[in-house]
Amino acid sequence: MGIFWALLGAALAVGMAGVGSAKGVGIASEAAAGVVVDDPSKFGRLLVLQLLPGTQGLYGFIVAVMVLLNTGILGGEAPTLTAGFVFLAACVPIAIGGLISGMAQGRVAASGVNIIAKKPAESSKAIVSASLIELYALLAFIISFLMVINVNTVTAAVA
Amino acid sequence: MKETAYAYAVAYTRALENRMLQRADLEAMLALPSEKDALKYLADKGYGNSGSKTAAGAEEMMKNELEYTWSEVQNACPEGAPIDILLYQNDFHNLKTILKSIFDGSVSGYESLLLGPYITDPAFIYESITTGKTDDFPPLLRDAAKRAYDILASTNDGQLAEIELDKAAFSAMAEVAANSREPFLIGWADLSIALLNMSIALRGAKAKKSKSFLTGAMLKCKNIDNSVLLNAAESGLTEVIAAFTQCGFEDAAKAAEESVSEFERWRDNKRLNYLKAARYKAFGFEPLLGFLVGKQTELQSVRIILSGLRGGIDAETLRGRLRDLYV
Repeated sequence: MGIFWALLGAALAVGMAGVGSAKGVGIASEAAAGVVVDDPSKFGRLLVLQLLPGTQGLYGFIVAVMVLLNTGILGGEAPTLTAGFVFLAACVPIAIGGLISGMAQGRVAASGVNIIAKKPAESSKAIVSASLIELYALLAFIISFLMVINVNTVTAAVA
Repeated sequence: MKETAYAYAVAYTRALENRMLQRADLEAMLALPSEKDALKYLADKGYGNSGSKTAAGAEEMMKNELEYTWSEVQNACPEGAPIDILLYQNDFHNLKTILKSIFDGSVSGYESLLLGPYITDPAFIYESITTGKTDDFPPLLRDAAKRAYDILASTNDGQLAEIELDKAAFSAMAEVAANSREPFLIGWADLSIALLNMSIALRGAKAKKSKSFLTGAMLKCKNIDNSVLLNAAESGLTEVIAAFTQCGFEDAAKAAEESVSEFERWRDNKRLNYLKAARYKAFGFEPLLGFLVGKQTELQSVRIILSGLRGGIDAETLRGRLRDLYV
């Protein structure tokens, strides 16, 4: 049963963070299309804003791969029930953090698109604003990553 | 509708805002010697030539510009956006024009006075009235059309019919706003009605209209106590100006002290300033509404300059008549 909980954790990490990114990139790209349709030359500046909310999905994917590498799917051994629960817990930060920060970053990126539409020279301000949210996705990723790579060591020591 | 559904439309509108005239453009036009030069200046800015149409004259240029703006926004915004609230005013104006022309017997010339874009096709309005099939009108237009028709048929009082339709137009705006349950829209409709009642009071006092006439002309208003305005209008112009201050509109009182046209300038600016809050929103229908009203106000200023240059009015006088710009 441990493997079930571990894989559920991996699925949530990649799924929820992916949904956050998809929504974020979606809203930013939708707004960017509104500007590009009028002025295609702004596409390059807008691309950064469109991509920024996409990182959460990548963080979730890395955490999920790390789970697979430690639970006998791509490497390691199948986890005990306790270890399976711990893997699930380790995936929670990036699952929730990725979902919410991805959507929030998408909104800020879409707002930044409006800055570029009106004042292209101020594009760096739009990018910096959207990047501020990246910190929280990154914190969630680091914690999930550290927990996942140490699950087996910790559970073995406890046992 | 979720406000993020407007992400594309708002960004596109922001891009279009870059093409709106700035104060410097209006100043440049004021410095030109003739209407022809001003039209050339506008044409160089792409005014009226957007899309596939090329403007031949001033009015056509304005018409093309407004139609292009509306079609672009309507194409970009999601279905069900409450921007149609602005079109009801045009529908009622067209209804008023058509009814007047039918009763005046000046049927041939009414087309040039019609406003677009609209929800109800003026040709349909004309045909429905002449064939007596007003039941086919949209609900918001139907009752008002019947009432105005009856007034004209029984009394031939054009002013009374006009008041009836103006009231109906603002009632329709309030109803559409209330149905949308959007506080921004409801607030804008309330403000528009308050400003309408203030205009009625000021003009009524100047024309020495009776209290009963003014009571019939005013709409129920959340922002202003109509009885204060009505009592003031009955007493005179000075009292109306004092009533504006009493109602919390000191700026309106100052403008009205100068002239009615200065008050109307203040009124138009007040409406636009309410919408200017939308410039800082990245989502929702508000930026679209602000842009469309901003474009209408811009066209109003362009018309003032063009007609001023045509009539040889000096730049300083014209400058005093210009409305604020949205951007």
